[in-house]
Amino acid sequence: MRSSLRRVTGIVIGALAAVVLTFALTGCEISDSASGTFTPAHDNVLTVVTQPFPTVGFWEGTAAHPTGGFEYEMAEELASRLGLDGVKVETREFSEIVAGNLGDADIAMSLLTPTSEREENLDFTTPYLQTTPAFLTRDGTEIPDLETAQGMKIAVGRNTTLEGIVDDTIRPDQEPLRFENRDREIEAVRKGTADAALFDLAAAQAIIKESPNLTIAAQLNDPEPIAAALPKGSSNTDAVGSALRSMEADGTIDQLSADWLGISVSDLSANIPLLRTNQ
Amino acid sequence: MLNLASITLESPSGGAWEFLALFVVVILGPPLVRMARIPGIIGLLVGGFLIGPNGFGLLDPGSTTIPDLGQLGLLYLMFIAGVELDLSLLRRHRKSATTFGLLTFAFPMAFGVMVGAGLGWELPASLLLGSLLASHTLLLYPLAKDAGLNNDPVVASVVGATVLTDTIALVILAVVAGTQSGTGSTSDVILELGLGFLSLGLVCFVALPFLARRAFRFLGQERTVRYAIAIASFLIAAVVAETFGIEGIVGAFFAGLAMNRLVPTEGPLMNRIDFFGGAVFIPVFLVSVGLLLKPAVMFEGETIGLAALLIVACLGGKYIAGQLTRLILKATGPQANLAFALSAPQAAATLAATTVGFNIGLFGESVVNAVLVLILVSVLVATIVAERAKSRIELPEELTPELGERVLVAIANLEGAQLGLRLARSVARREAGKVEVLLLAGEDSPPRQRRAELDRLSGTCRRLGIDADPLIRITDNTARTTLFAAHDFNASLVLAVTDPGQEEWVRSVGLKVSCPIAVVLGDVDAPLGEVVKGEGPDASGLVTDFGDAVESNHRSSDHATVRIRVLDGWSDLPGQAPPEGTGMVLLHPGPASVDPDEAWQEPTRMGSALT
Repeated sequence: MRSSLRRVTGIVIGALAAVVLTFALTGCEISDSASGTFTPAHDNVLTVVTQPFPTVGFWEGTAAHPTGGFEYEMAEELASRLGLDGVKVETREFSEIVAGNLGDADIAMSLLTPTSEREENLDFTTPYLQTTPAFLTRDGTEIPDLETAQGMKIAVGRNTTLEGIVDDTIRPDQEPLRFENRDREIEAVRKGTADAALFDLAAAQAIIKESPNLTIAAQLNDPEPIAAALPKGSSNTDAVGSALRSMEADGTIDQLSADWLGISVSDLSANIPLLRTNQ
Repeated sequence: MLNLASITLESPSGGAWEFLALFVVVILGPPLVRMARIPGIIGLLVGGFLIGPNGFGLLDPGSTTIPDLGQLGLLYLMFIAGVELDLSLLRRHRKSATTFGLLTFAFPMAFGVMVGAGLGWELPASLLLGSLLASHTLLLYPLAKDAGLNNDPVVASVVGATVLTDTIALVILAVVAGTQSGTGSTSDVILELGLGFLSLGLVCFVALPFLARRAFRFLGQERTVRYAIAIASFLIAAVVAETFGIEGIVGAFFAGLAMNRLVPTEGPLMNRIDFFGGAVFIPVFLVSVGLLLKPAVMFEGETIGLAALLIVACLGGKYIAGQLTRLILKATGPQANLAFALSAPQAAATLAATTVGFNIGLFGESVVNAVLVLILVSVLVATIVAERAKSRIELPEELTPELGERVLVAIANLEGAQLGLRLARSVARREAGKVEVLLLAGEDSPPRQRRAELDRLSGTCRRLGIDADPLIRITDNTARTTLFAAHDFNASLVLAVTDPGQEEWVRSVGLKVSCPIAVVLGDVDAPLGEVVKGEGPDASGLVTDFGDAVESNHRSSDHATVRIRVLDGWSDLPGQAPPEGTGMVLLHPGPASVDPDEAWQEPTRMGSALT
């Protein structure tokens, strides 16, 4: 009995010693946060790059004086969760961002969909939105089927994943209008230069919230994730991804969506007619 | 002429492509790694990595099909973890299982929290780390079972302890996840969790068994419906849990524990649950975890260092608990080593807690990858230790099974089948036991009649909510066939349903069979009501045991009366039918009490014993 007790005591001490020794050998290299460590590019602020202002509902105000928006507020919350003092906003053309040219920014948030091609230049976090492509039209315009959509003059953002959907899935009879600037794209629909514009549903929800004479006529059944992007090989990806997942888990993202897009994330696609594309 | 240049081939994508990639991994992953003597689970994890964005990128980067299905697989995995546990072992070895459970939880938990705190992690992350190291999965129990050690007291204690370790680990997970993802103040969150656990307890342990039992009886005529009811049960529990901010896997595990008694371990429903779990749901979950695997992260110094700490904390804690069985359970060295080997493998609860920790942003990729290394190492080390220890342990004495553990209903009189089945159901339910139903048919009975009788019997089983697929045996010797079936099934009780005056074959079985046997007489087509226990000596306590089990399912006194009495000897058979609308059970304790003067006689032939 006594020898067994001695043996077990020895094992306990041995195990404790092993833990301490392993610590000594490895502990100094391990992150002091289970969710990953964030090292900002600039002094204690989160530098975010996005496309030129404004992006209705996502980035409001100006780059120098942002006043709100879904992604802007997310960036602020992200900075807070990463223990930083605030957000510094920079802008670049969308095509530059997806090409991996983020300048000295820590992250890019600009309604970005991860694709294999983009992943060659950027690291993506876990998605914070799932959204389908949607047709933005003037009030009263209906798109009951694909044939109707194919007969329309369609506007689409250049270098976006939506451009590929227009070319490969919708295949309109007329050459689509391709825009670098989202405001001009919306303007084209408003003025009748284009019959419809293809946007991510979340973006379209934000646009119709601001423009009562526009509506969402239909959505495609092809959900796309929206995620934040970081420079390729960034050591911050894990920490940013963890913070975004925690924001999703505690309902922060849903709340911001309700505040800025006028609808919660889970209800984004509710009550929007679905356009079938598989003929 | 065919113009090949005009053919445009599309690169594969979409749902069918993703499922194909998934099932190729499910088919090839486990056998390939088993060739290197590595457990199949590792093949699925590695396969998930290979098809995922960090491997060959066969899946669309933004696709959520497999991760979403994986979430369902995770719920399924935790349901199986609860429903498969042998609660009878926990009941038998309550004290030692509780003691070992607390020890094998406490040491890795403490070491895990120490590691987290030492690294400067926040308290919730440290607590979650400790709890995920403290749980374990009985991956190697089949190895001990195959070696005939399932009745070894130390092995049984480890199995029983699993209920405790996994329950505590999941409660800690629920509290940590609730406080991390809740939006109110800490006191609000704790109040919500308290209410949640209360509601979950009521739903799982009161409402669910009640509803499931009735659903099995009234809706479960079809096998698919019975399976769907089992699936619905854990989904209900998961939804209730999530309503109160508790992770769905906690609800699924509790639902498994609650359904444990209704789903006998070796019954057809359990086989189906295991089959679909093993073929689809659980592999999908493991493959979805493999998608998170990043060699670039896994082989970083940080991840390897963290994995080393986790391995030492987990296996060190489990080893200490295993060695303490020498002091507490008076275990031998090999038994202590086997206790360690059985409690060391990290899989189900560990993966579940890690996935949840990742989803709520508490853990990053380094932790997930370090835990995957831990899972691999823990399974490998435990397998080696178990292989060495099992051959050095003396085989335990065969335990006398509980009366209701394995009930064989041998039916030679189809009209009396209802009474026999109702009695079997009552006795088996108390021990969450299995019922095997055998229809004895004469070789001269026409095949069409046999098929019709078997169908009728199957229908009766399903209507009564008995989880059994009746078998038919064509025989010219009822007694010998029943006897062989009882040995084959390792029966704990044989209920012989026969015609009054034709009980002689039961006597022949009773002289040879190694368990109690009951002669069931009477054509009763109603729920069981009053139980009348016969007066007279009941030295074995058989009448009391049997009667109590039947009475626990007593419906109403206006239902069929059943008279139970013990047989003084095989010459005591009444040879006449009980009064109409009532049943009679004549119990015999088995061969230990056989009068030595009563010699084995060649069993009677089939014939009029069959209806």
